[in-house]
Amino acid sequence: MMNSRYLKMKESNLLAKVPFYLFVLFVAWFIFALLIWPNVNVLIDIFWVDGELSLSAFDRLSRSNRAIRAILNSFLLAAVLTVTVNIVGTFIVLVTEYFDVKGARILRVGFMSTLVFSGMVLNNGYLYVYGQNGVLTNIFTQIFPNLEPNWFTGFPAVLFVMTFACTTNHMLFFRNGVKGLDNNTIEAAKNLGSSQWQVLKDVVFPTLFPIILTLVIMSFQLGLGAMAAPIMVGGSFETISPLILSFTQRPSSRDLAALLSIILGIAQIILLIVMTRNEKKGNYMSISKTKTRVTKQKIENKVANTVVHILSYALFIIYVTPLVLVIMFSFMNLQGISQSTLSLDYFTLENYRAILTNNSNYGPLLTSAVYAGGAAVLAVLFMIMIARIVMKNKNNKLAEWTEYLFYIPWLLPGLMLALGLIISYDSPSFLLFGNSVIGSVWILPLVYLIMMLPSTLRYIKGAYYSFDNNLEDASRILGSSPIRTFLRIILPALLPTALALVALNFNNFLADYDLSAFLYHPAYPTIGITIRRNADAANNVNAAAVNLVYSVIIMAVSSVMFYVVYGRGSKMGEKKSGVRKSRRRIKAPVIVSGLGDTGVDDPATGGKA
Amino acid sequence: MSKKWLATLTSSAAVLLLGACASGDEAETPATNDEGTTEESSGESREVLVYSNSLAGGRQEWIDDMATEAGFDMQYVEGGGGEVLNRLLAEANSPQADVAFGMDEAMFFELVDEELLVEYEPEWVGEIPDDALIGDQMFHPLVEQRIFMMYNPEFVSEEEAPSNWQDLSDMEDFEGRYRVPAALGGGTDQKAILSIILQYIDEDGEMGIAQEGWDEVEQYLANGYQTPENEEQLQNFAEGTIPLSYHFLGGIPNAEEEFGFTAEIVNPEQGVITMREQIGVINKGDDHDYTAAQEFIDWFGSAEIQGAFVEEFGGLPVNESAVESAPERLQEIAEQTEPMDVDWNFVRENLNQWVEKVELELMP
Repeated sequence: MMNSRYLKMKESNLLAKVPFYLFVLFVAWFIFALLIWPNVNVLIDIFWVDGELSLSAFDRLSRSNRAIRAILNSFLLAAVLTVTVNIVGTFIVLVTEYFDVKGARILRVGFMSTLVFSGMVLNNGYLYVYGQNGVLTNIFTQIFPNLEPNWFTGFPAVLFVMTFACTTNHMLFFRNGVKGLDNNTIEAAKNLGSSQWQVLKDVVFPTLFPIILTLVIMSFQLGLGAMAAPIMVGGSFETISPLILSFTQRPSSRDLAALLSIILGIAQIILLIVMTRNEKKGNYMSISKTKTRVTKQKIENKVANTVVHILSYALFIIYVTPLVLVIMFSFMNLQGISQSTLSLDYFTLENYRAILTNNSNYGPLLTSAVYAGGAAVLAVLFMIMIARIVMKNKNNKLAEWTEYLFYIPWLLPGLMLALGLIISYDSPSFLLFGNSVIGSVWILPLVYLIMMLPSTLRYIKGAYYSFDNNLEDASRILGSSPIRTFLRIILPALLPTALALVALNFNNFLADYDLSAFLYHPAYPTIGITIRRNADAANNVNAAAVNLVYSVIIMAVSSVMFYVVYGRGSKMGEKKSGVRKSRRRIKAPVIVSGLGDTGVDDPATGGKA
Repeated sequence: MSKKWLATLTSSAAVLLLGACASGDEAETPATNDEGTTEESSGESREVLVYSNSLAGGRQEWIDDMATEAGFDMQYVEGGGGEVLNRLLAEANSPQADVAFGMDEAMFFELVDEELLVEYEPEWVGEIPDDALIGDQMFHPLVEQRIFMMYNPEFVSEEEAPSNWQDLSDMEDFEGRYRVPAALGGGTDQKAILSIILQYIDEDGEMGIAQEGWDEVEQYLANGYQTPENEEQLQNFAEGTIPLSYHFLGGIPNAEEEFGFTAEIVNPEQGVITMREQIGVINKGDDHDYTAAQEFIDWFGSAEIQGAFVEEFGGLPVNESAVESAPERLQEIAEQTEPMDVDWNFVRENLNQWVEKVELELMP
C-alpha cells in the first residue's frame, strides 16, 4: 500500500497537472459562457433601447417616494438585522454546542427548525401567535383591553420575525465551526487562568473569525433581500424585493428591476470586499497538531447560568410555537384557517387526503428533488474546487478575480439570470457546444446551480480557513496525488460544511415557483408548478388551506433530506476529519450527545481500545 | 470502512447526476419529435404543446382527458397570465408552444406585435358575436370575464352603495373599508385601476390619461384597504369588515358558496371592464405544419367542448351556442352589467407604463 503511493509520487509532474489545466479551462468557459455573457446580454437588452443607452430608470426611480423609501427600509433592516441575527444566532449555537445547558438536544432541534420552516409559511406561523387573532394577542387583549389587535406589524414585527427566522446559517455553519474547535487551546487558556468570557473572546471567536465574517455578510444579504416578512407582517413597512420581483415580471419595467438589484448587489459585494480584505492575512488555525473535540463548558457563575437557561428556553418557545401552530392549522378547514381559530369543529383530514392520494403530485416532487438535489451537490463540489484554487493562490490577482466573478449571481435576480441565458442561447450556440437552452430540461437545474454558487463559495472559503494545511502537506509527502489528497484529506475536513450547504441549497430551491414557471420543461413540471395549479387563489377558494398542507408536506420532505444528508452524512464525515476526541485522555468529561445531534459518538477512543 | 462515507457521498451524487442526465435524454425525445412528426400530424398522433394560464383547479386534467379521447397528444406549460406571456416572449426566437390560450386581448396583441401568432380562422368563428372578433384572425375569444365592484348588502344598503369607482374615495362612512389592490401583478387587480383611469382618457395627459384621473386613482388607493397577505379578502367581505370590493365574474359562484354571502354587483354608467380569454396558433415558421394546432383550436373552441368546460368550471363562454351551459348566477350577473367599451389596442400600448406609474408613484 505504502509502496504504490510512493511510486505514484515519482510520476511525471506534468502529467499530474493535466487535470488541473483542464479544470482551469472549464472554469474559464463556465465563467464566460454562463456568468458573464448571458448577463451582459440581458443588461444590453434591458438598457439598450432603440439603439441608444436608456437610463430613464434612474429618473423614474428618483421620482418614486415609495421605491426610495423601500430601498432605505431594506438597508435599515439589513443593518439592524445583521446585529440582532448574529447575537441570537451566536447565543443559540453557544448554548447548544459550547456551554453545558440542560436539554441541549431538544433545544437544538427547535433552533434548527428554521432550516425547513421558512418563507411565507414561517410568517404565517408567527401570525398565528402574534397576529390579529393570534394566541398571544388573545392573551394580551384580555390583560390590556385597549391593545390594538393588529399590534404586530411594521418594522419591529419584521425585525422580530427575521431575527429568529434567519439564524439558520448560524445553526449550520457557526455550529460546525464551534464543533471543529480544538479543545486543547481552550484547556490551555483556562489553565493559564483565563475566565470563561476571556476564553470566548480571545480563543473561540478569533478562531472562528472567517465564519463570523461570512455570517455577517449573509445576514446583511438576508436583510436586504427580505421578501416574505415585509409582505406578511410589514404592513406599511415595505422593502424593495417585492417591487423588484414585480418589475422583473413585466418586460417594460425590467430596467428598474435590474437597476435596483444591482444597487443591492453592489452593496453586498462592497461589504464582502471590505470585510474580507484582512481575512487573508490572518491565521485561524488552532496551534496543536492533534485536535480534540470541544468539551462542553459549564457556566461557573450561578446567576449567569440561570439566566442563560431561562433565555435558552424562552427562545425555544419563540422558535417552536409558530411551527407547532402551522402544523395544527394544516388540519383545519378553510373557515378555521381564515379565522385563525383552532377548533375541533374545523378539524379536517380532507386536504391531506386530497393531496396525498393525488398521484400527479409525486412526479413533480421527484423532479424538483432531482433538480434541486443535483444542482446542490454539483454546486458544492464545484465551489470546493474553486475555493481550493483561490486559497492555494491567495496572492494571485487572477485567482482573486476568479473568486469575485463567482459572486456575479448576487447582482441580478434569478429571473433575470434566466432571461440572460435564454437571450444568449435561444438558438444552438458554439459557446454551449451547439446546444440551445430553450426547450431543454437542464436549463432549470442549471439556473438553480448558478444561483447557489455565490453563497456556497463564501461558506466553503470560510471553512477552508479552519483547515490544517499540515494535513495536506503530510499527505503529499506520503506520496498521494493531488486528486487523492483532495478526496481523502481535504474533502473530509470540509464535509460538515459541504453537506450543510447541500441540504441548505436543496431546501432553498425545492419548492421554487418563479424560476420554474419561466423555465420548466412541459414533460417535467416541478412541485412549485403543481402547488400553484392546485392552490391558485383565483381558481380555488380553498387555496389557503391547500397551500398550508403543501407547505407542511414540503417541510417534511426537507426535514428528511436534511436529516439524511447533513445529520447522517456529517456523522460519517467527522470520523475522518482529523478531529479526535480526547486521545490524550484529558480529564475533562466528554459529553456525548446523540440523536438528531450530528455530534460524534466517540469513534476514536472506542475504536482504539 | 474508512471509505464508507465517501462511497455514500459519491454514489448519491452519481445517482442524482444520472437521474438528471437520464431525465435529460428522455425529455429531449418529445422536443425532437416536434419536428420529426411534421409529415403526418393529421395522423393518429397529433401533438400539441399548450401554453396557458387557464389550467389550474383541475382544468388541465379535464382538458387532458377530453383531448386524449379526441385523439390529441397533449403537453402543457402553465403559469399566471403574465408568466406565460413572458415565457412566450422570451422564447420568441425559438417558439416551443403550438397553441396559447387563456390570456386576455391586451396580452394577445403583444404576441401579435412580436409576430408570435399565425392567422387561422376556426370553424366556430360564426358562433362568436362580431364585436368580440377584434384579433384580425390572429386570435379568437373563448371565455368572457367581467371585473366589477360589488358590495355586501348585509352591511351596505342600496342607498349607501357607490354607483361608480370614483365614489369610493369620497365615502366617509367607508373610509378604509373598501378593498383596493395591494399589488398589481394580477389581472383582476390591474382591471380595478383600469376601471378608473379609462374614464379619464385624454390625449394630452400623462400617458394618455388626464391628471384628474391620476389624482382619482391616488385618492382611491389612499382611502382604501389593502388586504395583507395573511388575510382572506373574501372573508373580510363576508364578515363585513371590508364590505366593498371587486371581483371577477367566473369566481363569484364559488366565492359566494364557500364564504356564504350574496354579492350585489355595481354597474356604473360606463359599464364594467369586460375582457375575453383568447386562443391562437403560435408561429413556428413558414414551413411548420400547423394542422394539429388548428385542429385543437377547432375542437377546444367548439360549442360542445366550451359548454361542457363551463359547466364543469364556471365561466361565461363567448360562443353563443354555449352560453346556456354557463351557471345561472353568471348569466344573471352578465345581464345586470354592461360591457364597457374598451380600446384594447390603446390599453396594450400603455398598460405597462400605467401599472408602473401606479406602483411607483401612486400606491401608498
